Amino acid sequence: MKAIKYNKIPEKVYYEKLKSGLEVYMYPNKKVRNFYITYNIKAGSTILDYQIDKKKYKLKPGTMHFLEHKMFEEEKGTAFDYFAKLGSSVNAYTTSDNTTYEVISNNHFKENLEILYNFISNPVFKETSVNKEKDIIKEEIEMYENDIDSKIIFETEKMLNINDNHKHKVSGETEDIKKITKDDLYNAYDAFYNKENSFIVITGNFNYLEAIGILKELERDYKVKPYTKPITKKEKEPIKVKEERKVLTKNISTPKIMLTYKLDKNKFKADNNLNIYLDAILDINFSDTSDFLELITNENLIVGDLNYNTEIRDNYIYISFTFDTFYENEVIELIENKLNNIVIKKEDLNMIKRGYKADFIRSFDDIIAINENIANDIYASGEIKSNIYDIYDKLTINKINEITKKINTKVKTICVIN
Amino acid sequence: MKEQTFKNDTYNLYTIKTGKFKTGLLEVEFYIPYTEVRESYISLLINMLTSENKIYKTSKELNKKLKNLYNANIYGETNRVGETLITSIGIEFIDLKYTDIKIEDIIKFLMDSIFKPNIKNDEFNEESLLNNKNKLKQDINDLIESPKEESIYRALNILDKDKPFSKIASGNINILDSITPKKLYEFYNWFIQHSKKDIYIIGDFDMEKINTIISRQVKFNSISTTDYKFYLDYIPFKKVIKTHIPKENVETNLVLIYTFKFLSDYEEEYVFPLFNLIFGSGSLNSKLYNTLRTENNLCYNVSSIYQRYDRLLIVHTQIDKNSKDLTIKLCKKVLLEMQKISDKELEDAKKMIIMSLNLTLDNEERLIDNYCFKNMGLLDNLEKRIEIFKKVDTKDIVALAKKIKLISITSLGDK
Repeated sequence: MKAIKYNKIPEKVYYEKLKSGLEVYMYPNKKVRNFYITYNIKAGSTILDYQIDKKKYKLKPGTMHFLEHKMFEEEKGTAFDYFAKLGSSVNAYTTSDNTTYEVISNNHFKENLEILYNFISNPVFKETSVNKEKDIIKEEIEMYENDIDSKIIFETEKMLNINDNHKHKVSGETEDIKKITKDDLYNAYDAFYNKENSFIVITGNFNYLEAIGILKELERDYKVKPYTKPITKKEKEPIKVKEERKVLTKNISTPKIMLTYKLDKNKFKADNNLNIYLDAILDINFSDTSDFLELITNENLIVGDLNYNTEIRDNYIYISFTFDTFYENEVIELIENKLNNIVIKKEDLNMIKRGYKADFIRSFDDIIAINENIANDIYASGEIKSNIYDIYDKLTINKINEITKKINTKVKTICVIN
Repeated sequence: MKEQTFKNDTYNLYTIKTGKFKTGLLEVEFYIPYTEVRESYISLLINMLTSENKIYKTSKELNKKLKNLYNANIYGETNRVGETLITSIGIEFIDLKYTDIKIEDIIKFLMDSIFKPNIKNDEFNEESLLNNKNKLKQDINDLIESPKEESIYRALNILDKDKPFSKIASGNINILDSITPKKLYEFYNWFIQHSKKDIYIIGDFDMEKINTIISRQVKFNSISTTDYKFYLDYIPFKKVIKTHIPKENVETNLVLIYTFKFLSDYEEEYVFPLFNLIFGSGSLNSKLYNTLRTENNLCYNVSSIYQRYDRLLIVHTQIDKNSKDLTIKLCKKVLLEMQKISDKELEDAKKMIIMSLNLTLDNEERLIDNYCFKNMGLLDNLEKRIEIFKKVDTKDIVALAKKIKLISITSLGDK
């Protein structure tokens, strides 16, 4: 077992790779009462085409999400029944890039870990229950369709992406769901739910030696089979959009806008910390400490908050802004003017660094937050960013200036719900 | 974890000393009797107090100061408990050993926000007032524009439009529009003067020293003698009110409201939370979830909310318009089934509720909330609660189930 120590903070994560290839990351904290276990699959809804040993497979949109729903099914009843007996809370969620199963409890650590491990290792998909699930997922799709904040994101993804599979909803559409079969679920499971494509993160009050002992015992009779990780087909995404502007009518009091810029990732120098720099640029220029937000608030150009986000995807980077306004053109012009003329002061960068470091320390108090931090590191780079404190400390104005020069506002989408 | 009370002339300081967390929390609680007008005023006031003050005159300046206090977080919120409005204004901050700041800086920052509002000529700043009004109005509109929230709000309004539970907590748009900078300042003075005040702090501090520092900064000069009412009156049993609110392009949101006959303190604090876990609020294994979703594929989600101090139980789900009658029928069936729950179901619910209470012990904010409710006489301490929950019997649940009656069915959608 390896102990991964964080720089500058007296905290460490224990790591072990099991014989099945399953990796385990553990952050024990005896000061809290509860533990939180996540079983993470490095596959999400954007996987629609893949290849194993020259054989090509296709998944219908929504298959990975459907699979997550049906994983809880057992020969008799559901895994929920077992967790309920332990007084534990269990859930799961699928994103565009990964799938997570989670359990939180303060008792019966061994049983919780065993049940979680076993139900994910032994899928039971039955035709009748797969068909029943379609009505439930249809209701889930309808629920998010009725939610304005979700709807504006769905529409923006459709406008922004030409080939990239983010254009599909994580859940798929009702028509996609109707066509998903039990065999589709087994195919997806076999391809992506292999232990070598998964990892467990455990945080909170537990004994890390006991945890590894339990997992090793579960794998005692495990026959190691060679695993060929599927080659997922990702079409190149052009730096243009499918539709620049769309207006939807929902009769809401203040029009809601989602403005998104699509940037060519190749223009940015490869850097593991690019996401941190992009966040810093947006925080300094658009957060509640910025001149920009003060201006648009005092001029009553927006109602409520200005939300912003950035994400680095396979072929491109996006920067998005969501706000409620009666002055769409004016706000967009101001945002573009700001993005094209970013100036960062040293004192602002230092202020942001201080905040990032403090938030990082805070996260160790929260068994869910620290679990997510660890999982996000693994998804992003396959290893824990144990030097994150130093990375924050070493953010430089020069590097920020280099990145801001690459930001432009040429390719964009504007989605309006009014 | 050590709890301690420091009695001061105009307030009590309640402390929880613990080295469990890497953060600390300091919170001032204000209690005033509920009126709809006060609820709107207080919403606006706490937004003003937490966004600027006499020292940091703009929201931007104040937020920069917070960032420099290592991303400390100032917050304000008001919760209505029956006929009492409880406003908390607090600051969350990182353990000072990781910083170059002192606890005095944190305490001063919070007290300045409360005692040094940005006032000129006995008025709040007009521009900020307008901004904060707009934000609140947007919150109100967002709530009404969410089908789930709107359906619950409309259902409560139909049940009794004059009761506090039928009002939106962020305020009433007409009342907000009528608030001027001067009127808000008058309200501020009334609020500071007439409210009951308590202060809470949690963290790894020398609490004697904290008491001394706080007592130097706090400028309250009055004690409230108000008798606070924490429960609304029971709603009498009557014929079920059935309402459909047509709305375009929206799946049917169904809201069922139940009330109950006189409950003992034991039933309110212990039996009802367990009943509700089994009935509809507990994880993905409640009776409503199993019946509506797992067995009949009617919905993605269903939840029940126990509004203890309003003496209501609310069920919400979203369904296809053609499933409404079946869903109502099944909800009624599930309530009847609550009269014959098994020991196993109850034991599972007890484990779940104990897990939830243990989560409270891992969260500073919830520890303070719990301490506050204990001081109000509404909750026992956590360890005692765990012990009493363990003793609840199936007979208690059955007796409670017999006291619950459906009084309103509201659907919104399918125009």
